[in-house]
Amino acid sequence: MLFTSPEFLLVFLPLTLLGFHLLRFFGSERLCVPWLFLASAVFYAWWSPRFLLLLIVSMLVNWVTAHAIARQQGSRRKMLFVFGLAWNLGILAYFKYADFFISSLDTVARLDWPLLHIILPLGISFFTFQKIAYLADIHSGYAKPGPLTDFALFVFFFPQLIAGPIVHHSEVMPQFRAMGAKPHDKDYALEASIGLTLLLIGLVKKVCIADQLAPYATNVFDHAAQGSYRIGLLAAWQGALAYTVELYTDFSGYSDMAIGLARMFGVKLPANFNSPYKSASIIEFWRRWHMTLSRFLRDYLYIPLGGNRKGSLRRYLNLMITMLLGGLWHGAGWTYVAWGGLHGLYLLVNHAWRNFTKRAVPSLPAWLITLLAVITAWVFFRASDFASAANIVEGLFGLNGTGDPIPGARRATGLLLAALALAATVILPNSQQIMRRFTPVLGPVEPPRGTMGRLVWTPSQATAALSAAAIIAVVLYSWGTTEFLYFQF
Amino acid sequence: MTARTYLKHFFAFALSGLALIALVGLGVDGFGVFGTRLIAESHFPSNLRLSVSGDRVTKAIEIAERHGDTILFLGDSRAQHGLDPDAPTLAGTTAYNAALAAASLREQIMVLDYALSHEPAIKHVVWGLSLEEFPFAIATSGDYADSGFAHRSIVSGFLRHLFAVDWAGASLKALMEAPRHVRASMKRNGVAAVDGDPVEGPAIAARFEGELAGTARELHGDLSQSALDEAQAMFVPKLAKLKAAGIDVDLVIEPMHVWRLEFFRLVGIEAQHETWKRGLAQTVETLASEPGAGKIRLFDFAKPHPFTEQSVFDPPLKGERRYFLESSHFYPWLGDKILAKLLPRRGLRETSSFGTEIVPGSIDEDIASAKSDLDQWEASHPRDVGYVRELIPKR
Repeated sequence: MLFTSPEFLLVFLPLTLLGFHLLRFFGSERLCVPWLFLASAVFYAWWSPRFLLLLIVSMLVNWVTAHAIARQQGSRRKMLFVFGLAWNLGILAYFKYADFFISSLDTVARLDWPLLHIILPLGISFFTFQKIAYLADIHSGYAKPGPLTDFALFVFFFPQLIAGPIVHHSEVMPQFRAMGAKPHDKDYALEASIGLTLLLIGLVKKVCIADQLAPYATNVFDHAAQGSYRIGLLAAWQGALAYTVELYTDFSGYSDMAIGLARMFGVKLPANFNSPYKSASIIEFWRRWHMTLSRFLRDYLYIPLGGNRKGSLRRYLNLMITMLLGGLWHGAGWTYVAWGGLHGLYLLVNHAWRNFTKRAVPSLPAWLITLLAVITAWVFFRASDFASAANIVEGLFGLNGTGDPIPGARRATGLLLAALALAATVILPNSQQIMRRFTPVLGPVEPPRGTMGRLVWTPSQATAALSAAAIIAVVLYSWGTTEFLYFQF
Repeated sequence: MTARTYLKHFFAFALSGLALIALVGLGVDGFGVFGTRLIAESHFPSNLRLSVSGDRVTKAIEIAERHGDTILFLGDSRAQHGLDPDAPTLAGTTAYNAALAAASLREQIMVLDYALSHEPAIKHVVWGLSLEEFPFAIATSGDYADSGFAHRSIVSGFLRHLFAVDWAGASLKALMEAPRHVRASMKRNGVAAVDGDPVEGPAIAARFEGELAGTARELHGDLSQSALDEAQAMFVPKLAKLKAAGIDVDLVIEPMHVWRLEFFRLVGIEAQHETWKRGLAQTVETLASEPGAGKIRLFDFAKPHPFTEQSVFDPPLKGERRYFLESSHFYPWLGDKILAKLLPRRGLRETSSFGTEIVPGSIDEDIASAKSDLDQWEASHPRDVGYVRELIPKR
């Protein structure tokens, strides 16, 4: 069920909210968590009842393992943790990477093994990470296992089940516990207003921006993949810029929706994006882009590998390993690994620059260089193979001249729209900043600078009219809505 | 303002806005909003490829609902855009344009069978033919997938059509234009109306360039001869059946701009184009001896003529109109001249030199004159020839 679909917006969400508030009205707050778990299970089963079973079994195994780890000490504790880790990574490896492994082996060793064509369970990359983090923290003694209902909702909570934000158990489980307690001091009308506004911001980003720009990117990338078109300067910039904005508005739009939906039930989630295209360095970019993934990779991969505690060389190696695996997490393909590797390289250069020179690059060139590096890397992320990625990168840097005429790509509309949308992502405040008066996310919100600081949401007739205009625009443009890009990861 | 009041205002504004859009849409252009697409997918006839294209869905339903058409237009997008059932020469008769964009001969035959099964009154078929669409299999993708009814319930499809941004925009535009005139941007009698007036200047050159450059990718050498033969083999018995059923058939080799003829020559498919024309002529000759009251005729419009040689760079001469949208699609006023050639009004003799009826033995002369006319055009239009040559991508 897509957040943008009528069945979600007109049936599932109202019914889930109604049930939630009826339980509260009749003094059965303790049933709110099981109710949300049930609704989340229906939400997932809408896509595939078969995989719902997999998710339930996996959740139960993790819950039992977590309790077993907590009861044991020494080597048994470690063995149980390794089992839990292997269980989660095994499921991820089988469903996501088996075909990738076989095809890579086929290519290298010319084995001609048939592919398994396994269907990827929706959201597997996201909920696997959450469960691994949970087990790791119980193993380290940072957390204690809780009741099954809270854990089940932690795994299943529908707003962030499919594509994050990747939440840490310590962030949401206390909120689930509070949800079941009496009396409530929450103003749920206010929670609903905040949640609704965030949901609308996300819907506008997805339906009115990402989906409208997608054809411009697809046109260029598809022609590049055909092999017979040389992608010229303008077409390459149209494709790359359109995709740069599409990916951001699609994924950050989904995150806004997730945060808004959770807030309707009084649950705050962590921010996932903080205007990443404003970054003036790659280090800053990774503090602003997919923040909950960056946090997970840092805490559960980079630091366990040694982080920066074992010298510069080892630090760079750890960084590169983290980014390569981060790339592979996004998709079972070598272009994703290359994208991760490119960002690893960027980070090495960025850290090396900071270590070896004390000179700061002026902010405008620093921003431009960062943006160019990010856009170039997105080409590898989006391209279906290295040849088409190279074709577009050559086009970006003018090596293909004006290139071959591509139907639709020579019009300036796509390039202009993408450039304008990119400028908006840089100039305008982001959703957390617009909603900052009501602490929309867990953790602090960076206030916007200058006149943009005036753009702040409060309940008023004007904002109600604006929100109504937003939902009307979403309805009108939702005709050709596609799945969220990050669903495939 | 309290949060509760805010929520009340939000829902009031949103519902009012949506209601207004619905009212404007229904009031201004009810048919345009809902068209004839209010039939669930499960009700679509199975003998037409209904699962892929909006036009295909609309036309299938219209064909099933209309009554009394005596003339049927078949073909690809050229015929769909260029042959208007409201042409003056057809006054007094009713016709329907069942041509479909990108329809290969296989699909055109499917449409014909479907139309005949729903409309027994059809007595005349005008069949637009082009080499480019002749041999291919039925395409597997189309715009039905984008339609509000694709894989959805009828209510969902209904709402999606009502609240689609293009329809809402069209309704508002019509409302704004209402004091002058209301022109619904919808198709009538199956002809696909081209929005707006013909463009001139750099825009028209860009259209020609885009079409030819796009064609250059797909059509850079001989088409598969076996696929052409296979299509031809499928064509002959179908025409024989029409003849036997007493239905007249006019086969129209659709006109193309001289740039496209030149393009065919430059990419090396001129000879194949000629062979294809000869094959059609042979088919008509063969069918002459088959039983039946129907007449099968063949007309060739795909050759140089002042209409098809109209300058791309300069605006049309005084008294003329722009005849081509780009190199392969023509406007209905050129289509009217074709129809006037095929179906001259009673009492009026058609005198235009545009198009030639191919009679037994005349195909070689027709091809030779077309070739010689193209040679002459080449000699007198070196700039055009150079321009077309540049569009052919280097390989």
